[in-house]
Amino acid sequence: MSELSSNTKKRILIVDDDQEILDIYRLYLEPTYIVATVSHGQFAIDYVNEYRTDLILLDVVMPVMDGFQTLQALRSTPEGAKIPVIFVTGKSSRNIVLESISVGVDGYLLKPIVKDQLLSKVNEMLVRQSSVSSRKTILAIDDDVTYLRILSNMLKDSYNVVMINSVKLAMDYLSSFTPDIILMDYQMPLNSSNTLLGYIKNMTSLDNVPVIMLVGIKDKNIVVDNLVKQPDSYLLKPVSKMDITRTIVSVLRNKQK
Amino acid sequence: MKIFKNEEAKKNNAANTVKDLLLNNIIEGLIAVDENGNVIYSNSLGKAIMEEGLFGPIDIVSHNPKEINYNGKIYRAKYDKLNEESGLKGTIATLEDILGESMVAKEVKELTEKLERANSFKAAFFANMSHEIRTPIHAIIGSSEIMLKNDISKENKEQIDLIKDSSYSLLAIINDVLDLSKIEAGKMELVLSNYFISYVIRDIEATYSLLASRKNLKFEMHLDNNIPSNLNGDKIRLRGVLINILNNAIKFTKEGKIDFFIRVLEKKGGMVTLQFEIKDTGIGIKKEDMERIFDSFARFDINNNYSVEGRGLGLAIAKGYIDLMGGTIEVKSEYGVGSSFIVTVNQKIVDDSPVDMSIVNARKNKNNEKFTIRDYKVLVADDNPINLTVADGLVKSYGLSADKASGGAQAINMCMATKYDIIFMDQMMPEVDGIQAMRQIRKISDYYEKECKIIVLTADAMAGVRDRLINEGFDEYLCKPLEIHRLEALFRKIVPQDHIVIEGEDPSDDIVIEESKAQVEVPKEVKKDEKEDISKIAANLLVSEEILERKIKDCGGSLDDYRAICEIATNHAPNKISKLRESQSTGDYDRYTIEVHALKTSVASMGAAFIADMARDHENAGKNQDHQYIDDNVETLITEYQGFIDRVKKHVLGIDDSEEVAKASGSGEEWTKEEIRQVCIKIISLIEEYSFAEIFDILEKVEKMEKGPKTKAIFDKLKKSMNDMDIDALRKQLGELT
Repeated sequence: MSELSSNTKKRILIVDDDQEILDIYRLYLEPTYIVATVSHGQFAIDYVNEYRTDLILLDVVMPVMDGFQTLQALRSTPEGAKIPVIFVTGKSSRNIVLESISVGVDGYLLKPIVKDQLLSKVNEMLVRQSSVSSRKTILAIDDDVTYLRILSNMLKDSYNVVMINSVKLAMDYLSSFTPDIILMDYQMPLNSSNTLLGYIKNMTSLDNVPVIMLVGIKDKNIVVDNLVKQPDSYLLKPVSKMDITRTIVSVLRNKQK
Repeated sequence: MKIFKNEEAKKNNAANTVKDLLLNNIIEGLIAVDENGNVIYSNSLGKAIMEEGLFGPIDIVSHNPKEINYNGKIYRAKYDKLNEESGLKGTIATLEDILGESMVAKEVKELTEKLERANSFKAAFFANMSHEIRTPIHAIIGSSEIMLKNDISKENKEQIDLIKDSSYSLLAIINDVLDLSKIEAGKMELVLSNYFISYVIRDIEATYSLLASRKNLKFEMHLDNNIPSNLNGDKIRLRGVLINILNNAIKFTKEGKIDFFIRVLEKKGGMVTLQFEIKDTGIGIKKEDMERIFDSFARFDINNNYSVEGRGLGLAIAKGYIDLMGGTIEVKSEYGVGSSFIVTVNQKIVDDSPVDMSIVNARKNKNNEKFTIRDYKVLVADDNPINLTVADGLVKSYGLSADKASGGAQAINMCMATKYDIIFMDQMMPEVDGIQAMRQIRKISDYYEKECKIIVLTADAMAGVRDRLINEGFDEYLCKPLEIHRLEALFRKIVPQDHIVIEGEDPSDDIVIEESKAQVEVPKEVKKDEKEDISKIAANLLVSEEILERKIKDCGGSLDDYRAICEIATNHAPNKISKLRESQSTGDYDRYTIEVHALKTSVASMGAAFIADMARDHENAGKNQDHQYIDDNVETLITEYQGFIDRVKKHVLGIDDSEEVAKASGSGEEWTKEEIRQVCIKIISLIEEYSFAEIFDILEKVEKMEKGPKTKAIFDKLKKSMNDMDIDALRKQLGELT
């Protein structure tokens, strides 16, 4: 698969049997993007196999091959598996939503097409996609699920965040996956943070994975003495988005050296 | 043996006996010799020493500074001439017990050591105990606040408020005591940082002119015009010291005035010596009390000052900090006339360009009076519609309405049709920029050349910019983003008196004295009932609460004003992003720089400092022709911007994601087994991938959908397991459903 270069315009494929609607799409999208239009599901699959496509707008109700069938077929091709797809539908029923949840649609738009909403949605999808491949994965470990979600919220714009709230879950994850960076809260029951650090230290696959420890002010002095493995960096809670992002960037940079 | 010859002899003898008694019982030894070295007298001690052979007439005659060990004591010989008038010629030697002296010295030394140990123990005790002492009080305050948030009766609320206020007072006392102990133990450290002294000055001016006016006192500031604007030092403690002295000045002055001077004594080696003087016409300090003025817990003149509150720690702490800074604090006073406290410190200079005095001087003259302006035509020119709206909102509070131009060319056209009294011109605009527009406007007529005031708005706050722009032909300059107090200062300076209408003082201004060390200065208080919403919004937008409050103030003062700005920003966002993408992908980096500059202003006005910084980096890269940087980082910028806009839409504007179907009430149709199964399968696959965030998203989507009570119960159970992230339980439940 060819490298996505930021210098070229993004390419959007629109699949709809209605010519007039295709024209409207062109009108709204052409200034900014490269727009390709097809009126049949099969043509969409052919197109994607031949040209690099950044986003697909897929009409649900089409003769011969409807949106769902097209999508399933698409997802089973190597090229089509990862392209973000937006379902465009005139009705908003439970069926559609459920199907889309299970089939793997990335978003949907309602007809009639509203220009602002279209642009906004398209942009949102492209933004998400372009960063997914180069995104780093952060393993966030804290027994407090609420705080995990806050952290995830803070970081999800730029990183892929995996939330883990127990030692067992962490070890399960680490036995199959390797994150790029580990963010761990010091205060966990039964001294779990120490246990985890020990475990991480013994895994050679995690040698190059930096660990950032979140500590409260009171803990700071105790932590250094008590830990079996020293984290690569500390952050004092409460942590701001700026602090955490900066620390992650600098820790990753240091690890690369 | 004495033979008493007669009564007189008897009497003499008696007298002699008393004398002898005395002389033989003093602790010194006394020996007198005549000029030939013959002993003419010695007391019993002297005799005894001589009998031991330790000392003799030869020593006396030769004034030998001998030390004699006798009877467990050490004597030193001291020599004096005998009083010649008495007829005797010779020398008297006094043998003094120096061990007695050294005994005293030893005792003193021991006592001092004991005292020092006690002191340092006390200090260490306090320093280490501070956490233990403060924690329970914080707990009391915290619990009180929680209770106040609950539904309680008015009576209870009053009581709990009392508890909370008392706790704060107690905390303040404890903090003072602990601080003082820490200082005395030598364990206090200064916190050094770069700071703008103008904030300190502005804050003091705002607070004390109000407090003074409440007591019918005058408050006047006198500032040298070469005070460096950016310094490095312990801003918080320095401010604390000044506030302490100013509070005293207010407390102890019943009538008259308080003057606050800031003088630059010297600038050398990158350091500036500043002198702060606070002079009042208060009750003054008695001469005998002056010595103890900086002692802890000292309170003076209780009869006259009985009603004055205070613990007497402030000045002691102030002196402690000033000593730490290597400065001096002195006081001059005349009882019944007034006092003058002078604080002199050195601070490191970071930026020597002088502090902008216009803010202070403007307020100084008018003392917080609100005014409106009439018969004054205003034109604002800016290519950014948000800035136009903000500016319009700001001038509205002076009773003005602004005409708007969205570019230099339009501004010129409008000036040809209308005579404007004042024009606010943005410097950076595409096509016709601020400077070009101003030049053209000046050419329109004599009036525009000489009389019309044209003010440039620029984000460039570097030294020298102002002068350059004024040389170009502008009358004044204002920094972006536009802040209300600067605008006010400008109006006071520029608008002719006959256009100004003064209103009475605004009683709703509520500025609080702080004796504790607050961190950030916010010029005016935000409306109290909106404060909680603002906290929530700040947390949801991931921006600093203080910055958000300032921004809200800057766009009009209420949350609704802020919402209006956000609405515009979010409406323009997709367009902005398209333009950014377009210009970057077609290699039009000049265009990109202009667009990202506009983006920076837009997010800054909403309070997103993080993104504004990022945008500034892009802008600088564009200016420096660093195209690689832009190419590498454009997507990151767009991602962050989009993320912020989404949050603004959701939390400030309350716009929900438009595709979601009817709200979950559990009163609709039940789902089929197959439908439920499909969702569960998806969740299971997400568990395998550890994509827990997505599971939360799906469950939230499902929650918003119509379903029957049984279906609702099923998904509620799943949600509960997920909220605790009890994955095992979740797997089990999903297993039963698939």
